[in-house]
Amino acid sequence: MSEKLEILGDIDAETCEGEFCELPAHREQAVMNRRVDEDRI
Amino acid sequence: MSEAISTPVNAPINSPIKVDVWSDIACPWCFIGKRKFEAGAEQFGGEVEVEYHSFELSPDTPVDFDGSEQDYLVTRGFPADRIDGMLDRVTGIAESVGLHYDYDALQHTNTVLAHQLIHYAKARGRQLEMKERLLAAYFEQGRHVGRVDDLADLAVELGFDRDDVVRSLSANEYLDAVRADQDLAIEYGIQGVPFFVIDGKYGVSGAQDASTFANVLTQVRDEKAAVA
Repeated sequence: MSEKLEILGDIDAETCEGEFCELPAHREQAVMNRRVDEDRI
Repeated sequence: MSEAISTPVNAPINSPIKVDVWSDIACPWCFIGKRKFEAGAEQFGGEVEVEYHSFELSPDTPVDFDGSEQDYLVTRGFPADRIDGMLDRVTGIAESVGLHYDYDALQHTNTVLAHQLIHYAKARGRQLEMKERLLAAYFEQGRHVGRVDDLADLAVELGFDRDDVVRSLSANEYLDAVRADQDLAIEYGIQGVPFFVIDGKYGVSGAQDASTFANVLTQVRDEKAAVA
């Protein structure tokens, strides 16, 4: 994260990153990250 | 250009608090986070200026995907036996903030043109309306948000001139603006969305509780008041 910003709030709040979206339930992967898919190729 | 989402009553500061938000259309937490942020801004009670910025989570997604959201997730390697449960949970959380996600109707697509349409509306002072319209179209109404004609239909619903929207999208008029937003996200180190930059110095990541947004906005207001 940029040093320009001071990060506030819950760092575990739900976000989407790539094709990966975190779920609050069990913190499991909601959508597989593209990188995982690429690793299989 | 940014737009105020609330009007202060006897606000203790003269200037609104600027909030820059990076998000995508095809991002379940972005719509949920939008609602939570709006609730937080309401709790805060002061004037806030919001500007949305483009962020493509999956820029290589095809415009036309022939299949359901479940089908799409399977192609990306997600275990098929977990998909329905996962989508049910996301749908339930969306319901908790008043959103009615319909994954059976959702049409997976590339969002770069939708981002350009948001910039088109922004240039005309109506970015927030367009952002909301596109999110609802995608998650709640099963509308396609990746093709020029479908996007023009949505724009017409908001009163925009269809021919001009088609012209703009066909010419990729705002593609550079989309890329500029993405470059700025890289500068900030933003990797996931939604991501909120408040007053240019605080970062808040994800679909936080409304109270978190209210607290951050209050902190910024207090800091401004102390300096004034």
